[in-house]
Amino acid sequence: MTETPLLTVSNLKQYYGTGKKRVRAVEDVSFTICPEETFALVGESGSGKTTVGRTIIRILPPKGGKILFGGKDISGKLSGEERKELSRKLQMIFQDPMSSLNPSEKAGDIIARGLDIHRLYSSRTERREKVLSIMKEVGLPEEAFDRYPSQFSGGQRQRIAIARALIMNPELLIADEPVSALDVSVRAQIINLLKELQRKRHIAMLFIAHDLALVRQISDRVGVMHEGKLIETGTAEKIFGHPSQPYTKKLLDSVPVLYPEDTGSSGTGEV
Amino acid sequence: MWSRFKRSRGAMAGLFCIALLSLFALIGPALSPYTYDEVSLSSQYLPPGAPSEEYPGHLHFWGTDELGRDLWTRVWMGTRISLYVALLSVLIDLTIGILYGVTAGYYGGAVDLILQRILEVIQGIPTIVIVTLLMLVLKPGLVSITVALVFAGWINLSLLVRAQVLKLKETEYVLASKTLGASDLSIIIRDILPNAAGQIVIMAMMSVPGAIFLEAYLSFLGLGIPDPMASLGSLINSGFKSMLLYPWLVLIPVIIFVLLVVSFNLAADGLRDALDVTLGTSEDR
Repeated sequence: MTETPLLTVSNLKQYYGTGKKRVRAVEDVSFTICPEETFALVGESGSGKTTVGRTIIRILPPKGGKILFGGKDISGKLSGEERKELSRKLQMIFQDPMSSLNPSEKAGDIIARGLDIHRLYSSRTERREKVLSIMKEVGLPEEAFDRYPSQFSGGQRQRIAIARALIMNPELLIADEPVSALDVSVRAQIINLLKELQRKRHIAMLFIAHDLALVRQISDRVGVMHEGKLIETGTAEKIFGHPSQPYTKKLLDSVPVLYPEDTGSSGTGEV
Repeated sequence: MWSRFKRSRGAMAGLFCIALLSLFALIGPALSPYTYDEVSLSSQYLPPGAPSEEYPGHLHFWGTDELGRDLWTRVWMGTRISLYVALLSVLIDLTIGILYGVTAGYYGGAVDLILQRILEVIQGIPTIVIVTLLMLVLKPGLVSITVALVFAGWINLSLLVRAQVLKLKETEYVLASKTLGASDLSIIIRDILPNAAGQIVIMAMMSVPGAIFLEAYLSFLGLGIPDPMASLGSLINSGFKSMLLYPWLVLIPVIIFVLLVVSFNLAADGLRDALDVTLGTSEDR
């Protein structure tokens, strides 16, 4: 890795609550993501992986540490202008497409939201064309433009959410368990779509997941989180082939194996 | 939205009734030769349809009251006042109520704390006290009713809006809009208010009967519309005194009053369903 990293996170801290009730959600997490790379964060529920994602995109203000994005420090207080600029380069896909789409807006308007906010069109026709072209790219039919979220299936809703994020042409996409709320049958489609879009558009991706088989298939490097700490990082082959931490071994061993006699921890299921 | 509204028969009936009542409130008094305060001691308590003494060839469609005043004219004049009060209360709900509720709910924290304490103080003062105090500076009448409504009429709606905003601002689609760089105003207008619209409309429409009742109750106490002006409330109250002997004096204003309140409720129901796009697909409705 000789490239300059796109995102550098160092000693990130995040807490919930105050005083004695304070819960440490994220403690001293550091990692880097290079352009066009996929970095996966894995860990059990409550290990803080979603919190890391939400802190990087500044839904939550970081309580400590540094976040460098494209060479700029984005961990301090951001002005409205900086926030807007950041939102053009950093986008997020949420876990549950049932709740991440505004139920009272048409799919076309949901996707065009970013264009509206940043005034990226000069006419209504241009706006519509831009939305239709991205809808085609994510595999949504043209007539979906005028339909409401309640009229789509889960997989299609997630495609709308992907289109909404990608219309901004981000450099880094944070995918927070983008398929864990979907039917097993459509998961592969959405994952393939994400991979394809990432290749075509040269996007880096922070992929947050608990599905180890999926992570192995999609990511270049993997970080393992446990109780708010990042305990191990490495290339996907290293983490899955030669884990150095006992927790990582346990995590890999907890994957149900299709043929129990075959003791190789191949990771073919979920934690 | 209109096409969805049209599909609800009850809502259309309600809307039609409101339109009809408004039309008669406008032109009704002009259809008879009498004015609402014209006293005629020779034609007291005439039954509906009785011929007029002063104006040969004309009828008292709905009879006359204890002073010989034409009930038809007085009922439609009263409907005007009730409609004014209804419109006013909806308007107050939709402006002050929404602004206050959204500010408290969206910004939360200290802002919410202060706004809610102010609201509790206002809520703690009975309307009757406010109106009585207003009489020190104002004559009883529409102005004092208007001021009383502006002062306290928006409280329930603002509480509802605040609760809705508190709930909706935590949704993931609001987070998604934030990550897209949306401003607070844009989030409130596009993500929060449309999803609370159904509840807001229902609540605003439900406050209509309450406001009409408030006017009637104030008129009864002599704090509302003063004689010889009429409102539906004051007509029902004075007709009530002679209900057994001259039933039309209470029946007719009551029927108009009930029609008014029921049709507002029906229209509100239909409007809520039309606004709620999540209830079902447009094809299967």
